[in-house]
Amino acid sequence: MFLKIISISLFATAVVCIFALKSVARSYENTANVTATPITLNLLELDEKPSVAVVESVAMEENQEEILEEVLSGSLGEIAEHFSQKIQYPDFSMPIENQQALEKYLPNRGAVVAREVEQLTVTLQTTKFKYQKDETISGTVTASDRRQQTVQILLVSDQQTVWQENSYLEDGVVEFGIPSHQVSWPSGHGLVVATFSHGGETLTLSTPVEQLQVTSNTPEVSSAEKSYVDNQWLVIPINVQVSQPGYYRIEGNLYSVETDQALVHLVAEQSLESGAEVIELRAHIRALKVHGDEGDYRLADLLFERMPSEPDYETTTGISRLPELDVAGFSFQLYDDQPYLDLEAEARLEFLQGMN
Amino acid sequence: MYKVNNLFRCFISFVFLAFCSQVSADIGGKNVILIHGFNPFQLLSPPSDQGEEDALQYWQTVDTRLRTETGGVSNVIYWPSNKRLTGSGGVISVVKPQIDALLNVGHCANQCVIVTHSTGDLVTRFLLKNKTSIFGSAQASKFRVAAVVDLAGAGGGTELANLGVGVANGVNFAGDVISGLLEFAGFHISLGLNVGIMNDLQTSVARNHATSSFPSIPRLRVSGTGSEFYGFATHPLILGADDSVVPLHSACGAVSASSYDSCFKDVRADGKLTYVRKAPSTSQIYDFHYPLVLSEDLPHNAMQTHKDGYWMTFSTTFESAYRSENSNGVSINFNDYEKREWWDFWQKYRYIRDAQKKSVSELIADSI
Repeated sequence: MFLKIISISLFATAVVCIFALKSVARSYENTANVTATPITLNLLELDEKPSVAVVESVAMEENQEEILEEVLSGSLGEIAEHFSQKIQYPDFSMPIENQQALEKYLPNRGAVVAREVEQLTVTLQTTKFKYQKDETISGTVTASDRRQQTVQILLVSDQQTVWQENSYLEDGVVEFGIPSHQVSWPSGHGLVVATFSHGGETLTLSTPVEQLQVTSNTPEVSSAEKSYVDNQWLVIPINVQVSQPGYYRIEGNLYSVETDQALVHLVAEQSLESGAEVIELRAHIRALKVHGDEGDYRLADLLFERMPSEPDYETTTGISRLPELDVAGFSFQLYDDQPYLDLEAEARLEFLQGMN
Repeated sequence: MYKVNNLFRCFISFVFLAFCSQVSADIGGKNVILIHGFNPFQLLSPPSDQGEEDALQYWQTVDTRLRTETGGVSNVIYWPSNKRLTGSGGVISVVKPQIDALLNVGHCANQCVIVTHSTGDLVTRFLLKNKTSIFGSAQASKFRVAAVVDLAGAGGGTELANLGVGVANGVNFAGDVISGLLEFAGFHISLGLNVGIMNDLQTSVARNHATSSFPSIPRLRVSGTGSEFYGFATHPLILGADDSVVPLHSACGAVSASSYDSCFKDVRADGKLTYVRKAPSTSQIYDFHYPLVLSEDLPHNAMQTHKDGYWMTFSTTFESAYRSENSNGVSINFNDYEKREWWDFWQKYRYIRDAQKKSVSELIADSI
């Protein structure tokens, strides 16, 4: 027992010394005058096989400014390269690299809120941020220690608790549903709160939700016309109904009907008059060719909104009567396979390359 | 002759001064626009000047190359933190005419660079994504941006905002939350307090402001995980590593509000070249967002000041897969900016050498 205590103490002392020496070493980094001397060391690799490395150090007389700029320029060079690859595609017709990247293009998501307390992580996440009046506000509470415990779920609006319910964590997870249409929250702004006890204290998480007030003036996606090829573009005309003139934006993800893979994220902005209007999404042939899928497609994950404008610069969220729209595909032979060129983006690339 | 010489000198001086008044200091040949972050004290004491004086103070010690005027119009954009991003009298309505004034004197005619700090990231994202409807197509065409440099970008929100809004709305949090917010804000957030832009900094709200797609403008991100004096109280409240105010999931430009230890899969915040499990892959970063520099020691409010003394690192790769290290017979050249640190059993570290001798703004101005 005594030897154990001694061993632990020595180990702890060694760790403290190493961290202290790290700080001291860094503080002397710039003043040390090191000359070029080859040194042979025995090192442990990541996989712990013994190896030999020759470490060369360079005299500190060389220009520190040049090193600093050269270091950042290497990183900026990588950025310029990455950017040049990205701007091959229009930013309104962006290939979705993989399933993981799809998350970037899903609208109206509730962000996870989490607390880390010692070894425990607790999370609260709603499925959406904005809910229509007849929708249930659903979400999940989790606790990383897989506990079984009561958790209280509340909806707070205008400083009042307008709904509450006790749920039960089973294996550290509980899904909840707040029937917002049964609740009075006139402002349409609320906080979903989850609270439970932990180690004699209360852990509380909260995340905002909003109610989407749908009226006859709410912008609406009604249907899609038949798509067609126009030079290098697949054009998807979308029928919409708007009550106010202004700039509108529609976004959506093009999926393969055959494989169900997400292919391209599409965006269109257009100035519309009021009434029944058409707004066109355009997919560039080079973006479609990334996954080599000629279609047919379906357009889903739709977001339609009136863009912010004076005087209050609020964004007005619209709705879609259909969760997804069918889009006909065409042989790539029918397209004019021209590269996409955005002069503004090229100018930015030049700027990035100039920094390198 | 004397009179002619004097007149000639006066003329030359006049021309020189006239030229100087039109010349903007710049970085990389581009004019700069500065957009500041959240000022909690404005919640208690709403500024009568919409935050103009506070904004000038905010950027007071930034590298002088970033503070400029074009045609007498300042490049320091101001906005009041007691207002929400949108709505009547909101942040966008205050910022828009200032941007208009800059555009009208050709500030962005040759593409400009926007430098943001903290919540300025969120403001800029909203402006750029919606510039056509906010400014009108003619004016929007003048708003040509080469790049945005986001220092401690809060565009993804922060858990501190969720907590602050909760307290103001009567949610019953434990003492550590109340203390943490007090340390951060410098005052008690009371029930019913108008928390202004803090509403928009809640993670769900921030991440639903203009994030489904981005215009093709590179967003260069500078992030830190250092400690402010109140960091002891706020670090435990924020998910993952943070700079005492903004979590890495926001500063890195990550799609998901997850717990991250680094912006890079292959470099730790202290520069160690090692696999970092809790870091976003490139496909988990918003489009056109590029984590550029990361510093273990850099706290939130050191980014926009003249403070130096912070070690910094970066990643040379944007590949999503981690590349395993091959150190057999490796010759480490100092010019590779990597070195094996003896105090960590000669493990490899990468640094921006001598970054600690420069402030962040000086580093940016020198490098661009």
